[in-house]
Amino acid sequence: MGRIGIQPAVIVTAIASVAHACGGAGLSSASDPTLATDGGPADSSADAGHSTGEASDAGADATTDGALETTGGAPPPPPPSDNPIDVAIWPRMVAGGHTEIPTDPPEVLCRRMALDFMGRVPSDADIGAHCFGNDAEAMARSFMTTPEFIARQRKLWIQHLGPIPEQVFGEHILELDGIIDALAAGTLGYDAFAIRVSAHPAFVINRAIANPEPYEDSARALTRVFLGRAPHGTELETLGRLFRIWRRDWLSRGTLGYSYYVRVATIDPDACEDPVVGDLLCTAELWGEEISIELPIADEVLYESIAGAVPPELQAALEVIGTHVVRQPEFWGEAADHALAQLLGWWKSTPAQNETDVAEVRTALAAWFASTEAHDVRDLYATIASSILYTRTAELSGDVDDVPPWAIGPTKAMDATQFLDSLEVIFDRELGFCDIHTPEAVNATQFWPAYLRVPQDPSYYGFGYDFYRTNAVPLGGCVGAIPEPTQPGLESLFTHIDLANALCPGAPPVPNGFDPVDVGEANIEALVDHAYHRFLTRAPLPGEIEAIDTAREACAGDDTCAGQIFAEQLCGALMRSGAFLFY
Amino acid sequence: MTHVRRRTILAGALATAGALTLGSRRARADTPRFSRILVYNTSGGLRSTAAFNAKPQGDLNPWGVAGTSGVLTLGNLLTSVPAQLRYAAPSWPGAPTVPSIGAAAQSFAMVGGCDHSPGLYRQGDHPDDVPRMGTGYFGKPSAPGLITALNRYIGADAAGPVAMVGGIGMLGTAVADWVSAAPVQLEYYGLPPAPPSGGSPTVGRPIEDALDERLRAGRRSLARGRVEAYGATKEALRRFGPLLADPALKIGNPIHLDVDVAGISNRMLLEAMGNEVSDTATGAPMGIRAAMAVRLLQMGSPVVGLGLGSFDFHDAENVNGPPIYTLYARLIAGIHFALANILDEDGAPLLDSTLVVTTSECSRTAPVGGFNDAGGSDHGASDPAWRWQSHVVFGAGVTPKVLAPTGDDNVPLDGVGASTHALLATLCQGAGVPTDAIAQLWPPGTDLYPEAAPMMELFD
Repeated sequence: MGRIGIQPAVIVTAIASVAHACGGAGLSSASDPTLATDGGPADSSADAGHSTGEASDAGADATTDGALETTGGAPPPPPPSDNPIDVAIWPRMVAGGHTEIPTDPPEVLCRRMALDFMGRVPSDADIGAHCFGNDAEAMARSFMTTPEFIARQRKLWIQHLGPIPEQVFGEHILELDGIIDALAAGTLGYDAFAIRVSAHPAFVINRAIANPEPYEDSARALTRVFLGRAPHGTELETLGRLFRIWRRDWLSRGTLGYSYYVRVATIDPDACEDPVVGDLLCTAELWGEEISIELPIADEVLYESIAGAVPPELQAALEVIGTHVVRQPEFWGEAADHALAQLLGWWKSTPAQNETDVAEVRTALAAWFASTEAHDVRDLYATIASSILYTRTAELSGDVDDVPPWAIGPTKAMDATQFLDSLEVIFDRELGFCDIHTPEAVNATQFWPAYLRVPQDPSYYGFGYDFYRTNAVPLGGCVGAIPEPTQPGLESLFTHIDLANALCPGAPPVPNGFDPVDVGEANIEALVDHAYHRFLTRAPLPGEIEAIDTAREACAGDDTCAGQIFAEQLCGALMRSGAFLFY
Repeated sequence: MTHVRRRTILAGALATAGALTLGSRRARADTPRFSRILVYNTSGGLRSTAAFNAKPQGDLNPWGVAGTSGVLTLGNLLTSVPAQLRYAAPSWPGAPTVPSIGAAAQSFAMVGGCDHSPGLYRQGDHPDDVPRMGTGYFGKPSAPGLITALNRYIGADAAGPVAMVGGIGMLGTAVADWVSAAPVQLEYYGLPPAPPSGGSPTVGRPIEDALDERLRAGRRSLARGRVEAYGATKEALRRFGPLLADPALKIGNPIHLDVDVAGISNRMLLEAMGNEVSDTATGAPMGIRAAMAVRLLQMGSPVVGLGLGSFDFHDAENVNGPPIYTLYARLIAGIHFALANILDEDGAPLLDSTLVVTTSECSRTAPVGGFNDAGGSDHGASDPAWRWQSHVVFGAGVTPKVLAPTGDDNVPLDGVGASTHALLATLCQGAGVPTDAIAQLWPPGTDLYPEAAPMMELFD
């Protein structure tokens, strides 16, 4: 068909679109013209000079000696922006010879961000509203204003916090949504979020079902989620003891529709009472401080009786542990790690690959995030999404040898809901949804009865059964708080086939005016452009074009083939392809 | 319920697969000692001093010694919850009872004291011991897992996929150039309803392939690995789809209880593993996985990894250890029974040509009194109880013997023991992996492989 695919543009060292403006101390404006140069070092800029100085500091702190030396004595180029990630990673880029930074076309970056922040591929309306004319940071911030962003954050945080309905009363879990929403909307800073969560029953009584009660599970969850590690030293015993104020009772809530006993939280002041020496059990030496919880209640309190209206003094007492956790040195580092892993995919993805854990990046990002006034996670996400680790192309030309993971853009596999929600956009057809909190199917009411759910169409949007959940489960999704796989397995690929067979026949994406009979070049080219745009937000590339041409010719020579059949086959090929799955 | 007889079809398929295998395998330096291998891995660190290399000292083995079986000393722990054990196998010819672990172990061999890094420092935590067990190395991310390596050299022509059932540490790890040899991860609840059929051969499939190839060609580093792993999975899907959709592999589905391969039904395999079977239920997941592993071997998979975990009992081992160790031993007895009673295409028991080996990333410490303050045991530091672990080996002509035996304190009698590299090399050598390839994977004579030779005396 003679198309020329869009090739990644090479922008040498200076990238206007990633200039950082998150409001951190000493950060420059995204519109700084000195950063929007034609590829040469921004040597005339005061900002650029500032950035170079930061890079030197970062290199001295975190990279091998001589990382900034270049052959021939030429000074190394400055980092492309004063984004703290760019500044921190830059000495490695220089030392490794990776300072030429090819970026993806805007539509590819738009798709990447739409999937990360909205949980689905962008529609035409999304491209217009969030991507067109925006640089990377503006694009990210625009996506983060959407309701879909809040919903996506809910799902990801529920999976990270991990409350399991068998272990925790459903109503407790549902209360977490409000806390996560406030975090995602920027009305709750990250440290305040951690404090709130660590004082919430959905998190602290989410313990394995065992006898005796494994209070240490609360300690493990706290350090895992907010410090990024297992408990050290006396932490396990000490935190486990302090968390005894959160008792878990196994009770019936059949009147609410639960068909099995549930585990509810009770705040127990007696947990602090040692039978011999009095109320010493809620006082502990930990992290170099004395931690003391003084519950302002004389009798135990069923959490349900005060849910949503916890007295401030009691809330303050419950938050004592969290207020100490956020002061630990690992706290902001884990905030950075978690966000980097979410958006880059490769970050700390394997313990055996040192290059996936770039200490200087974490240190710089954590320090910057801690220094911000609001501790707004949207600022954290925007900083990552506008860094060269995120914006640089994920596709390198054939003559480029292997590179470290930080020298190529992100490649992540869609999770189950990203996949299915994207199909909704592509086919412009409602497929349904599942409740992110529970692995239970609709009408299975042991731990997640109907009153906790958002109702679905009785006919499941015309499928007559729960099409969404049925397909999501084998993709690894719709299983509540259990994190989803990052790599598809055989079952996922079988499901892709099932989905293509279910959705493409009869209703493949076709452009206006498409002739279902014609397999001529013009008709098929318009079809291909339309379908590629829907699935991949891009045009076909070399290699793909040749295959399409060959397929069209084969179809044209086959009496049983027609434009409609070609459209269905193309639809299935796109849906089953790695190009759709990975982003 | 319909009884589906599939003997002729499968026997024919297996015979064909065998012929193909013999005709197309590359030349090898040594004749393979076996044609199938089952690696039974327990994650978290199995306390081998209380299991098959049971010690009389209470610190190493607070449950005590049950007695000897063949050359092994079995711990009480292995049968400590007798109420959960089932031995009846009414669907098998003659309605036998499955021999207990004590009876089965009569023919077992063991590497008594195996060390990941003989004479060298080991941190002794999971992040270093898991890759050491899986690949032989810590800090060598390019190293393939044992099962990945076996797949590259003996999996290419097999009738069934090299597969892992359940979590199995890094034995199946595959990075960089090894990605294409990554084994297939299977779960009994995730098998396809029908063989895959994506796209027409002239339109849909070529376009899909071009999209995949473009994606693959542009990626580097870990992204390349992920995309190639995806490609390997897709290739496996197309190649093994018919087998994976076979009801004979869907052992967890009670609808298929009476489907059989060469006269061995799903129900029989579940009974062998001690699962409680009814017309509506197939019993414990681990038993289903073990049955599935045996079925895969029967259907032509040359290498199967079976994972059971977790054994990382830093606390409450005194409470939670007995049931899982009892299950662990019962499944070994069941695997032994099943392999001994299933015939291959030549009419010989599968056990004759199948090697079974147990692995874990480490053993566990011997706290004073047998348990730490939390009722568990740990790993790391200088405790010999943790450092040297035992591997049980049986089948494939292995003769009962203990290599690298250890004393009551679990220190090898020769003070050194065997190396993990020697164990991995032995398994590959026995499977017929070319000697030069084995030497590239685990070079003989290094600090990690001081004995510089595989333990082929297992087969003498």
